[in-house]
Amino acid sequence: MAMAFNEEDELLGRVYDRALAARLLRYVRPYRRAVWIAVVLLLFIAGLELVGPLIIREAIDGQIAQGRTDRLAPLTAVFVGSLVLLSALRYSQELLMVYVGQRVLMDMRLELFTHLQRMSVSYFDRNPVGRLVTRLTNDTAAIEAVVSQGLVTIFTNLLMLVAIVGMMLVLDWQLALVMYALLPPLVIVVRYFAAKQRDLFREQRMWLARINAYLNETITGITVVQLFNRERENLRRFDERNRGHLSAHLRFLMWYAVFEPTVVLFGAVTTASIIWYGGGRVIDASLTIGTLVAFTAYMQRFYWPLREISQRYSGIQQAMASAERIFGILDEPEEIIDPAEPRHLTDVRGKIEFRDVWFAYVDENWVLRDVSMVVEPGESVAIVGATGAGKSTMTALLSRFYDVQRGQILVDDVPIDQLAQQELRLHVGIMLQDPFVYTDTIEENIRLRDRSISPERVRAAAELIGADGFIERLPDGYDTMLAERGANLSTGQKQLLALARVAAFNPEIVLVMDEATASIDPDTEAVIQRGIHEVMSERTSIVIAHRLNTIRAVDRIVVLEHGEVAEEGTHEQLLAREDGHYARLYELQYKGQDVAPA
Amino acid sequence: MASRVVTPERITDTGPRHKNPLIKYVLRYKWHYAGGFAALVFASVLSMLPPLVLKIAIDDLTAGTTVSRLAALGGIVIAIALVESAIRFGGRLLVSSRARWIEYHLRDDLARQFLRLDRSFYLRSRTGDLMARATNDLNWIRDFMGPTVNDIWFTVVMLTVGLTFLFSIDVRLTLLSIVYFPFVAGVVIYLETTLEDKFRLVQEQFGHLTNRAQENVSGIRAIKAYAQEESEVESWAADNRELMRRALSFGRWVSGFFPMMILATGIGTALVIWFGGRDVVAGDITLGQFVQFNVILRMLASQLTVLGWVVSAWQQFIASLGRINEILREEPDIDEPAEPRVLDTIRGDVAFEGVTFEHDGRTVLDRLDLRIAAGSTVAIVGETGAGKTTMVDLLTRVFDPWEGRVTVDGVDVRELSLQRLRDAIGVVPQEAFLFSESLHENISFGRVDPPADDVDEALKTSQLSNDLEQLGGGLDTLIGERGVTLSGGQKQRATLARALLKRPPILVLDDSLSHVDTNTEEEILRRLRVFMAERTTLVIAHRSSTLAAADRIVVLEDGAIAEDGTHEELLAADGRYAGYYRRQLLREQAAAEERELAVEDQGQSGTAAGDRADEEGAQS
Repeated sequence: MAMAFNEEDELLGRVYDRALAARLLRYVRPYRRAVWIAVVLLLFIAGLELVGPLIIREAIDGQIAQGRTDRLAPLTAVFVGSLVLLSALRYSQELLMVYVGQRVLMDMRLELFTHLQRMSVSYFDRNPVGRLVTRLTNDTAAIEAVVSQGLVTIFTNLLMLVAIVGMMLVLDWQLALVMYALLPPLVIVVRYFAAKQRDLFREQRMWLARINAYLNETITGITVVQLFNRERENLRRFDERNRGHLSAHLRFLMWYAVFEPTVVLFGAVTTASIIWYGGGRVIDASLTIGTLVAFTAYMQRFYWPLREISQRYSGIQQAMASAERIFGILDEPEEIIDPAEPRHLTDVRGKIEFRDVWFAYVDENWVLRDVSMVVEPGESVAIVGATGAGKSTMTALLSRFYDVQRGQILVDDVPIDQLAQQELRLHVGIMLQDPFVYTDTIEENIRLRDRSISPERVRAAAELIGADGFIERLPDGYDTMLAERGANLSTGQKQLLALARVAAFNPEIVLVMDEATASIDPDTEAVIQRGIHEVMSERTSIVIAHRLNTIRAVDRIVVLEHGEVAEEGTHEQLLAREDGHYARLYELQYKGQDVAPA
Repeated sequence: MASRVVTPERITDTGPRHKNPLIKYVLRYKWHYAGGFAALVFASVLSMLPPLVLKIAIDDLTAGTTVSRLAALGGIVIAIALVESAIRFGGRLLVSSRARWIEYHLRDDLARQFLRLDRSFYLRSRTGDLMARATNDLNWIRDFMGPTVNDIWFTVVMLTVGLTFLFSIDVRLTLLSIVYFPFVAGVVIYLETTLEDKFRLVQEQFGHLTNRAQENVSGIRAIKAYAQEESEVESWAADNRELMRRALSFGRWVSGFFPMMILATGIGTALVIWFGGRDVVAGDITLGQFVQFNVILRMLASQLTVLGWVVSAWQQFIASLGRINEILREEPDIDEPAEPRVLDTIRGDVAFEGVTFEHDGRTVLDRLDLRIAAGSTVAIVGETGAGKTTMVDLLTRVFDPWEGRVTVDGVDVRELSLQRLRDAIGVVPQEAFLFSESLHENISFGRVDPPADDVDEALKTSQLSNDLEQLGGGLDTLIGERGVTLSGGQKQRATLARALLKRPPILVLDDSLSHVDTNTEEEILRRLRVFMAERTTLVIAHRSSTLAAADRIVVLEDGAIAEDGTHEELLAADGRYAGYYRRQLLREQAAAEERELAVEDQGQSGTAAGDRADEEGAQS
C-alpha cells in the first residue's frame, strides 16, 4: 500500500495540555534519577557559563588596567579549567538525556506494539496499515526528539537567561536595571513574531497537505487524467495549490527574516546603553572598565538562548499532536478478551462443533444464520458456496478472530471463548490462500520465526508436503531470502510455503483456504494437491474448496448459501439431487475441471 | 506480418530534456543571489563596527572623556545597527525568497512530469516514493538553496572580514588566536564523517523497523492464526534494542559536538587573555583594542559552529537533487508524433492489425486481427487474462503494441496526437475511479464547462439523474473522502456519464456496468443504442443482456480471436461462446434468487456488506 497522507497528521497539537503532559511524564518517571542528575548538571553548567566574562573583568580591572601581568597566567588557567569542566558537564548532561529519550522511545514503542498484538482482527480491518505503521515509527520518534533535545534545550536556555540576569544584578545593580528595561520590549517583539510565524507555519502545513492530497490523487488516477486529456487543467489546479504554498512561505519568510535584524538592533541598543550609561559611570569612577566589558560579554550571550527557545517550539507542537494520536490507540479497548480463568485442552482429539451460530460483521447484516455443524475427530469436511456465502467467515470464527453474536463454537466440546486465544490457535492451523510472507529466509517463513521449531522439523515439514523440491532448487535453499511480499516466489510456491507452515506447526485441526487463484502451472498444481491431501490426512480438517479433486477427497461436503447450511453429503449424494444447490454450483464452478487430468 | 517492429527501446532514445533544471533556475535568479550575497558582505563589514566603537569608547574612558561624547558613540552604534538590520533583512529576503521560488518551479516541473509520464513509469514506481520526492526532497533542496547557502556565504565573509580586522589590530595575537582554527575544522570534518556513518546505521535500522511494523500489521491474521504474537513482540523488542544501541552510539558522538566547539572557541579567548593582556601592559595595543579583539573573536567562533551542519546539509542536498533529477529526466515510452496526422472528423473505424503485445514476459495479445466498422457495437468476451483490457490500452495508447498496429479510420494511432486520439475515445474503465471533487466536476472531467443540455443527456443516458436527489447536494455533491461515498453502481454510472459527456465517436465500456443492477443496465443499454447510433461501441462484458444486445461478439482466448460472429450465429455454433453464455445465465439466475431472498429479509444492504466483509475475511 502507498504511504498514507492523512490530513490529521499534518495538524499541530496544542503546546501545553496538562493531561497529555502528565501522561507523557509517566514515561519519563522510570528514569527520573537520570533526569534529576541532568537537572543538577544544568545548574552547574549555567553557573560555569558565567565564568568567562568574570575572568575578563578580573583580567582588565585587577591586572591590565593596573599595568600588571603577574596573575594573568593563573586567571587564564582558571578560565581554561572552567571551559574543560563546562564541556565535560555539557557532554554528560546531553548524553544522559539522549539515553533517557531513547529509553522512553523504546518503552513507548514496545507498549504500543504489544497493545496492537492484542487488538482483534476487526480493529485491523478498520485501520489502514499505513496509519498504524506511522504511529509505531514516526509519532514515537517525534516524542523522543522532544524528550532528548527539545525540553532540555529549552530548560538549559531558560536557566542561562536567569543566570545571566542574576549575575548582572550582582555585578552592578544599576546598570543591570538599565539592561532589564530593554527586555520587556524585546520579549514582546519576539513573542509577537513567534505568534505570527506560528500562524503562518500552520498555513504552510495546510497548503502542503493540499498539495499532497491533490498530487496523490492525480498519481493514483493518472490513467483517467491522461485518457480524458486533463493534463493541462489538472496542472492549472495543482498550480493554484503550489502558488498558495509559495505565498504562505513568502509571508512566513517576512517574519522569519525580520527576526535576525531585530536581534541585531536590540544588541546595538544594549551596546549603546552600556557605552553611554556605563561609560558615564566609569567617568565618575562608580564602575570599572572590566565590569563594563563583562556586561557587553553577557549581553552578547543573551540572544542565543532566546533564539533556540523559539526554534524548538514547533517541535514540541508536533510531539504533542503525536502523543495524542499514540494515546488514542493505547486507549482502544481490546475487543476479544481471554477468559479470566481459561480452560485447557489436553490430548486434543479435534472435534469441531458450530452450535446455532449467528454472526454479522456490522449490525444485523447476518453473514451466518443459525449455522450448526459437527465435524468428528479426523473427519474432513469441505465447505462450498458462492462468494459471500460466509465460508471464510466460518474459518475466521473458528480461530476466534471475531466473536459470534449468538450460539457457540466448540472444540472438543469446550466453547472456544473459554480458552485462551493463543492456546486455541495452536491447535487450529490455517493455510491461507495468499500467505503472509516475511522478508526473511524460507526457513524462518515456514516456522514464522518460532525458535521452538527446529530446522530439522522445518525440513521434515517441507518434505512431507513436497515443498522441498522447489526450495532446494533455490540458490540458498532454506536460507534463501524472500523479497517483500514474497515477490520472488510464484503463487504456487507461496501456497506450498503455507502448506509447509501448517505441517511444521502440526495442529490437530487444520483449516485450508483453497479458493480460486491465478494460473498455477500444472506441475506445481499437482504438488499442491498432494500437499493438501497430506496436510488433511489424519487431522480434523475443514477446507474452503475450489479444487474439485479436493472436494472429492473429503468425507463430507457442506453447502452454504446466504449464511445457512443448505445441503450436506458426499459429492455423489449431492450431485444425485435434481436441481440441488450443489448440482448448480458444480455446473458453474467445478465442471470445467472435470476434464482436467487428476 | 509485414508490419514494422517497434520495441520500447527505440522510442525512448530522445534524450533528457534538461541536464540540471536547478542550475537553470539558479541562473534565472542569479541577480537576486548576487544582490543577497553583496548585502551580506556589507552586513558583515558593518557588524565589525560596533566592536570598533566599543574600543574607541574604552580607550576614551582610559584617557578621560565626556558623557556627551559617549552618548554620541552610542548613537553611532544604533545608527550602524539600523543600516545593518535593513541590509541583512533585504539580503536574507532576496536569497530565501528565491529558494522558495525554486522550490515552486521544481514542484511544478515534477507535476508536469507526473502528468506526462506513462503507465510503464507508474508500474515501476511506488506512489509513496514519488510523493516523498515531491515533498521531503524538495524541502531539503529549498533549505539548502536558502538558509544554508546564506549561512555558508556569511561564514566565509565573516571570517574574511573579521580576520582582516583582527590582523589590523595585532598580527601576532591574531595568528596566536587562530592557530587552532584548522584543528577545529579538522575535528569538525572528522566528526561529520563519523557521524554520517553512524547516522546511516541508525537510519538503516529505522528502515528495518518500519518494515517490521509494516509486515506485522499487514500480516496480523497469520500471526494470530499461529499464535505468534509473543515471538513478534520479542523480535520487535530485539530490533528496538538494536536501534537504541545504534542511536546511543550516534548520540555519544553527536553530543560531543557542541561541547567541543565551546572548548575550542574558549581556548582562543584564553590565549587572547594571556598574550593580549601582556601586549596591553607592554603598550603594543590599547585596552580598547583588547576588548574589541575579544568581541570579534567570539563573533567568529559562533559563526564557525555553522560549519558543523553544512557538511550534512550538503550531502542531503546532493542526494535529494539526484532523486528529483531522476524523475525529471524520465522520458515516456508513449511519445507524441513529430508531425501528427490531422483528422478533422473521426468516423470511428477501429482496426487491430497483427497486434502482438507482451507483458512481464507473457504474450498477452498474439497477432490479433480485428476490424470494427464505424457505428457498430462489438462485445468482447473472454476469461481473465485473455487480453481484453490490453486491447483498450493499445487503442488509447496507454501502451504501444510490440508488433503490428492499431488504427482509427485507417490511421495508425501512433501518428495522431495523443490529444486528438484520446478526445475521440470515451473509456469507461473497469475500476470506477472518481476524484474527490463535486459530482459535476467529475462528470465534466473530459470537457470543462459543458453545456447544460449535454450534461442532462449524459445523466439521463447513464441513469444517474434519478440518484441526484438522494445524494443531497445534487450535482454539487462532493464525492470521495470528504464527501459522499457512492455505491459501486453509482460510481460506475458516474464514470459512464463522464465518458458520454465527451461525445466521443468511439466508446469503450470495460466491464463497467458490473455493479449496476440488471433493470438499470437494460435501461442504460436502451438509451445507449440511441446515443451511440452513429458511434462505435466496444463492450467488454459478462452480462447476458449486454451480450445479446451487441451487433457482434468476439471471443478472445490466449490473446487471439477464437470465435467471431453475431450472438445468434455463435449460439447456433454451440462452441465456447455458447457454453460461456449458458453458464452466465445460470449465474445470473442464482444471483436473482439471492436478491429475492435478501429482499424478503429486508437486508438488502446486508448482503452487500456481508460480501465485502467475507471477501476481506479471506485475505491474509
